[in-house]
Amino acid sequence: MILRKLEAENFRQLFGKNSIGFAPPGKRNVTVILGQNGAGKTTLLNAFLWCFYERLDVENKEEVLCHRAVNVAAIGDNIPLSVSVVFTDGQSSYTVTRKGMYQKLDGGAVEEVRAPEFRIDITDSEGSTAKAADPKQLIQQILPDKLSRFFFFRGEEMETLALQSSGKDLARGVSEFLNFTLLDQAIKHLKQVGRDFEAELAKVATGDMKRLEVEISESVEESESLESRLETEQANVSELMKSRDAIERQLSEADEVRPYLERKSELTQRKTDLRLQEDENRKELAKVISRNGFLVGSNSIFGAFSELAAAAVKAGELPAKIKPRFVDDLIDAGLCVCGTKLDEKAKEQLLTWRGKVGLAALEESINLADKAVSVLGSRKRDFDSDFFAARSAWSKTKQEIGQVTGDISAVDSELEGKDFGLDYVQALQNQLRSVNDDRISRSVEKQRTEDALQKVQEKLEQLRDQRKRLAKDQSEAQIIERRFSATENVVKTLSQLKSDWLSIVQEYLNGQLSENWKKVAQLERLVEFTDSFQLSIKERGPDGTWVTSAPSSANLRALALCFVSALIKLAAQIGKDESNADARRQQPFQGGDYPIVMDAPFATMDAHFKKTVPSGLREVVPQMVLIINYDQWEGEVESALQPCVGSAHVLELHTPGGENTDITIEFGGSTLDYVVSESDVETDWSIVKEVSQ
Amino acid sequence: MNTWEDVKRKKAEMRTAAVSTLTENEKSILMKVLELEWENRHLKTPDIRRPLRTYIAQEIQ
Repeated sequence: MILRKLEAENFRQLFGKNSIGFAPPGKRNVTVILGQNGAGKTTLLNAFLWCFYERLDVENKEEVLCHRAVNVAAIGDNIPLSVSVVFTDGQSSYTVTRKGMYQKLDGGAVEEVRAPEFRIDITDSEGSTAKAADPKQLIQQILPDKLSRFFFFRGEEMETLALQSSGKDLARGVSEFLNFTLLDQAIKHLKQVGRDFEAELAKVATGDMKRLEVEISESVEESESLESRLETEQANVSELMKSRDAIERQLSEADEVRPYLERKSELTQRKTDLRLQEDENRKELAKVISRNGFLVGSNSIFGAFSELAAAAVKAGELPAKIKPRFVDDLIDAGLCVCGTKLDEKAKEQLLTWRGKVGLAALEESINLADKAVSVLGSRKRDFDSDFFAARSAWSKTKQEIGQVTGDISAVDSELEGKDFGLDYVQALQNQLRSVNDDRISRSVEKQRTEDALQKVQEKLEQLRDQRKRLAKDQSEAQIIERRFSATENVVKTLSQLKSDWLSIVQEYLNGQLSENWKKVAQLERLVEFTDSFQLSIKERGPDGTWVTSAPSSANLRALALCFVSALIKLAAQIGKDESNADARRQQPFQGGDYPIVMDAPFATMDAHFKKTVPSGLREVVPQMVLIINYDQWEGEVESALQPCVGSAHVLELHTPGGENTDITIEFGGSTLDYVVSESDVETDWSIVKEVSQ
Repeated sequence: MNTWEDVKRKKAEMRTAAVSTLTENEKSILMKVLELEWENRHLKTPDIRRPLRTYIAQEIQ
């Protein structure tokens, strides 16, 4: 999706017909749209969302039609409302249009004359145009609604992506990129079929199996109800964590509170690292046990063996006096040891010796076994030392986690209860306390449900194992049981495929993130997209190792922008992956080149980031659209991006006001109207004007 | 750093490893369910339960 043009008529703040042409990919791939606060910058972002998905990401969602258009219309006049976006994707151009018609009624109210119509016209490379049969499905293939927030976003939303509470959102977002819809449907349907087979089993079962089927059926019901409850509880906890993060971000604006939040951020990051460490400790312990764990209890066996050998020596049975080979040679040759031919007496003697040969063989075996026991004994000593080292490392990490958790609680208590002497802080602290109380009680509920679910699932597994054994005696039940087991195995494999594919892509995104950080942020930091799908940032400590620090808002934004550009690269790779264009068109998400459209992304960045991030970012994405106010544009951002601007526009704000309140700005050598005060207008309205380059 | 080629290779290895744990019958059920989902992907609420059940019943007798 490479943007070509946006046209909006009477859409919210935008009065009349407005048009924006976007800079194409290349050296001048930046489109800049300058707008004063309140001039409709967010309206422009929403124009895309309304056009594509008929939704608005604003508080007053019902207000779509421009007030100014209603005010200037005569009673009975029709007022058109439309947004149209033209973009190219592959070889075709798409014109996406959503338009409706309203009429002004007596008294100033408006009535919908024609409900908004949605259509997509596709123009191929030879210029012929056709209407898409199912435009809703087509737009979801090109840019699924759930993914739109990674390409069209406000600066402050961007920051939340980098917070730890967004881990689940990021995992869901990456899943959307990977087209899991088909796999998810397959898993869902197979589970339904599995339940059908279980119902069939219940019908044909007799005796003990009948009783078992009733228990299984009850456990399945309980498990499903717990799964659904858990999903709701997870969503609740996740929402509350986001609310907590939002309040803490507001609190961090107070100088008095910021040090506490920075300390908390450090501790939280430390806890995340320790959790990863704990995971490593657990794996190491498992490795030690799997390598030499069979030697546990071997001391008594080795001891018994040594006692056995010592007893044989004491009894004079060992070491054997005659070697087996020597006796065998004498028998083969038919000769005595002195060289004479064997007579009956000598033969009898040899046979007596042969009897002793058995003990010699035993000696050999004991010698071999003794060597093996010695090797195993050494392995056992290694095992003991590795096991105790791994176990004590794990205990130490767990102890540290406990310590850090306690420290976080202490900071939380101060954040909630300390008197900072500021009313607005006090109000935020009250909100924080209430959100935290709620979060804790929900988390407890969630944990209890998780425990209950695990118990039910373990029970279900045991019951199904029992059923498998019993079904062997009933041929009809055995076949149905085999069908059920096969269905379950396929579900497990599909789930495994999903999680493996997700972790391969997480690893890829982690690499891309790190590359982008070098190019875009140009600051020595260790950035990671962890295997729990969280973004993390570390800086060099005094001893040269990477240590966690409390990331600033600027760091979080830069990190999130680098991550989004990694996603844009992923989308491009997915788009290229299918050489067959027809097959690509059938996918739920097609992938391809995507723009990055941002409203005020650099607001909280310092001078370093303002110099590096805008220019670095525009190099790693095909097309960049920047909606920004003049204060944020002027200076470092302007110097960094001006040579790359391929298209520029200003959102001219018309506002009720007196004389001398007009504002003009300088852009590309021209003086432009930025805010125009008018005495005869009742509400703010804006119009887009192109700036010649 | 992993390139996209690495990603594709790992994906292919992962597929092979995951599918190798299945019996021939199970592999065929896996292919069938994906085929049915693909054919019905345009439907808002695709229901492939009946054809899938029939297929599994035929496969395992």
